[in-house]
Amino acid sequence: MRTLTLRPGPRAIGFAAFATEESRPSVRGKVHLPPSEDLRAGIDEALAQILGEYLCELPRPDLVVIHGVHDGHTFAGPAMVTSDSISALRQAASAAPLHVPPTVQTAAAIQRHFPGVPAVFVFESTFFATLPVRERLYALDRGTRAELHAARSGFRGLFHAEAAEAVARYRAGLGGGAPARIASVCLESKPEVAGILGRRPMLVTSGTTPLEGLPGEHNSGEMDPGIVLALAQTQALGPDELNEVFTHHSGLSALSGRDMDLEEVLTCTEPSTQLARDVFAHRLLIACGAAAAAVGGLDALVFSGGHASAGAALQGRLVEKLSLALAGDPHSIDVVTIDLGIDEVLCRAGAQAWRAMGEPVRSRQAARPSSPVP
Amino acid sequence: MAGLLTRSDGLATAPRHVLVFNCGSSSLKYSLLEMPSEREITRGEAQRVGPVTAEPARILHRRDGVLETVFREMPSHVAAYDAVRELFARDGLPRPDAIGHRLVHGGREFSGAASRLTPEADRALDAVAELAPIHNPPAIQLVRGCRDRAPDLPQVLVFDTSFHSTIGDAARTYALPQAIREGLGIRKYGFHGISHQYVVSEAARLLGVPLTELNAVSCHLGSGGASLCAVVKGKSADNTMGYSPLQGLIMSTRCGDLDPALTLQLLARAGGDARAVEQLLNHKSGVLGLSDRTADIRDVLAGYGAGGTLDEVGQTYLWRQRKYVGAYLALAAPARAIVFTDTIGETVPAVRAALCAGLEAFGVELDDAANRSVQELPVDVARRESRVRLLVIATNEELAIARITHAVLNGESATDERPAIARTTRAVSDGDLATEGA
Repeated sequence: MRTLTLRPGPRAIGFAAFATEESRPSVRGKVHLPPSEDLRAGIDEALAQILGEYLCELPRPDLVVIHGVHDGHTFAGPAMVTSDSISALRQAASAAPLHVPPTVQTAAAIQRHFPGVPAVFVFESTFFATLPVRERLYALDRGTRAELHAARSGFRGLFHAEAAEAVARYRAGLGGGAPARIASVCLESKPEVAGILGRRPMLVTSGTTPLEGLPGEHNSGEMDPGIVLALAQTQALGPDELNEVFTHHSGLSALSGRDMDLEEVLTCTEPSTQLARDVFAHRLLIACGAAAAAVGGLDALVFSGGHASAGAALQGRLVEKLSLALAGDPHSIDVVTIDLGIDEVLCRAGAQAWRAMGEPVRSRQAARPSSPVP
Repeated sequence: MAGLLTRSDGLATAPRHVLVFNCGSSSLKYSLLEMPSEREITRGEAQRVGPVTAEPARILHRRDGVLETVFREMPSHVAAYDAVRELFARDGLPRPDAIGHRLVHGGREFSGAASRLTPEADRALDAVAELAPIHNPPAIQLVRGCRDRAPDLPQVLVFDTSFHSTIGDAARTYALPQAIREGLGIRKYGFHGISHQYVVSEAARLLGVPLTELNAVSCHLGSGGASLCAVVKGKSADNTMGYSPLQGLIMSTRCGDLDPALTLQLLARAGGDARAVEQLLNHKSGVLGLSDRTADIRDVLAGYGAGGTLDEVGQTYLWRQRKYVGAYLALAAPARAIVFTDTIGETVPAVRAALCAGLEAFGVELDDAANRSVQELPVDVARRESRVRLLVIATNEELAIARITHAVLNGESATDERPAIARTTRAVSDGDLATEGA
C-alpha cells in the first residue's frame, strides 16, 4: 500500500512517501512554512511544494497519514479524515492551540488535493489517554488547572506504543502472563521517558508541554518554578522572551556552548561537552528509576527515536545502576533498540489504524466512480 | 537505645554550652545543649515575634520537663534574643560558650560546609539575604544582634543548603545558557540539609556501618515542606528541592514540580507580576490547591489505612513521592535504607505503607504490623528479609546544629562523620517551623 505521511507543525511540514508500509521511505523531507500570519495559506503553499516538487513523479498514494501531536481530547484513537472529524478537531483547538490548527489545515488541504484517497489522523496523545489521574495532576487549584489546561501528558506516544509492541512481541514467545514492566526511552530532539505496564503508560517525563522533562537539544527540560520567577524579576524578561530562552536557547546545546544534536552530545568525547552528557545521563537515570517505581520493577529498557542508536553510549552505566537498584528482582533487564524513524512509525501506525477501521469506508468509496483509489 | 555517652576531647577551644537558634519568619526556637554529652539543658520558642498581632508575643520556655509561658514584647528577633537571655539569667543557666544559627539559604557564598562568623562571612551574608526573603533577613539580623551584644562569643552559621554542597554538576546544573547560570547563580541548592544530614548519620549508627559507606534515600516529610535526598557514601547526591524550595514533592501549600511553560502562563496571566505568581505557587497550591479544603495531608488521608479509600489528592501526593523514591533508589544504588523523618514521616504509618507498596522489586519489604505499631523512635519497620532497611528516625535539627557548631569550633570538619553519640528520642517534630524555606 503506497502511503504518504505528513507531519504538520506550526513552522514546517515533514513528509515521507512509502511504497509499502514495511519499507523505508522512497522520499522524505521537510518544508518550512512561509512566514505568514495566515496558517491556512502557509500550509497550502508548503503542501503544494511537497506534492509538486518532491512527490510529482510518484503515483498517487493509497493512504495519507496525518500526524497530530494532540487531539484536544476529541477522539478515542486514530480517526478517519472527514469533514466531521476535521470540524470536531477544529473545535478542540483551545486545548492545544499550538498543535491542533496545523493538523486541521493540513487535513482540509489533503481533502482538496486527494479527493477520494482515504486519510487518517494519528495522534501522539492517544497513547496517553490511559495515563493515571495521579500522574496527570499538577498540585494547583482547580480553577487554575482548568484555565491553563494544566495536565501532564506525553508527546512521543507513537514511539512508546511501538516500544510496548516490540516488547510484547518478543515476550509472547516466552510465555508468562504478567504485563511487561518497561522503561521506554525516546531519543528525539526533545527526549521523553515513559514507564509502561504492558501497553498502559503509568508515568511520563513531559508535562502539559514538551518543555518539562528531560533536557533536549535546545529546550531546558524541567526547571524549578522559582527560577522562572527569579528570571522574570531580575532580568526584566517577559513570559514570551523567557519562553524563547527556555525553548530555543537552552538544553544540551546551551550546556555544550555550541549547537549539537542529541546523538552528537551522547557519542562525542570532547571535554567541552562532558557537562551536557553528564546532565543528560543523570536525568535519564533518575527518570528510569522513577519509571521502574511506577511500574513495579523493570523487564525491559527500550531505546527508540531518531537517535535510538546513541542509546548504546548510555546503556552500560544505566543498566548497571538500574540492575544494582533492582538486584532483588529475579528478572533481568532486557535492552531493546527500535531502529525506526518517526516517519516509519507513523506509516505503520496509520496503516494499522486504517486496516482496523477501513473496510466499510473502503467499500463506500469504491462505489463512487468519481474518486477512484489508484 | 544505648545510654548517653560522653567523650572528653580536652581541646580548650571546644565549646561546652552551645546555644542553638532556629529563626522562623515570626518565631525563634532556641535550645541550650551541653556538649559533647548532648544533654539538653533547656529549649523553647518565642512566638509572634515582630509587628504586634492579635495575640501577645510570648515565649514557651521548657525546662526540666516543665513548660512555662512568658509574655514579653518582642518587636524583633534581637529583642527575642534579649528576652531569652533574661530567662537564662533568671533560671541561673550556664552562659553559652557559642551560638549555632540555622539559616535557610547559603547561596554560592556559603556553598561549603558550615561557616564560623568571621568579618568576611559577616559581609557575605548581605549577598544571600534575599535568596530566602522570608527567613534569611531576620536570621541575619539576629546573627548581627548577637555579634554586637557579645562580640567575643563565637558564632557558627549552619545552612540548610550546606549538606547539599556535595551534589555534583550533573545533578545541580539546569540546562540553561551559561550567562544565566553563572551570572545569576542558577543551580540546584537543595534544602532541609540539616535534617537530612542528621537522620542519615543516625541511620549509619543504627545500621552499624560507617557513614562514608552508607547509600540511602532520606525522606524529610514535614507537614509543611518536604524533600527527598539521595545519599551516596554518606553525602548528598541529589535533593528534590532545587534553586528554591518550590521544586520537587507536593507540599502543604507549595506546588512542587511544575512545567516551566505553566509558570510562564501564570506570569502572563498575572500581567508579569512575579510576586503574585510566587504567592500562588508557595501559599495556595500543593495539598491545599488540590483538595480545596485543607493544607494538611493528614486530613486528606484520615481513614485511609483503616479500611478507607485513598482519594485523588492523596494518590497524587503519594505518587510524586514514590516516583522520587524510585529515582533516588536508582541514583543511590545499592541503597541500604530508606529513612523517614519529620512530622509526616514519623507519625503517619499510612504514608510509609503507601510509599513502600509495590517496591518489592527494589528490595523494599515493609513489616505492616511493625509499621502500624511504632511506639518509640528510632525503629526499623522493614521485614527481616527486606534488602532495604526502612528506618523511622526523629529528626533533631537543634542537636544537629549543636554538633556542627561544636565540630567547627573544635577544628573538625563539619561534614566529617559524627561519633556514635546516642540521643535518640525527642518529642514529635515541631514540623513547619523547623522546616520551612522561603
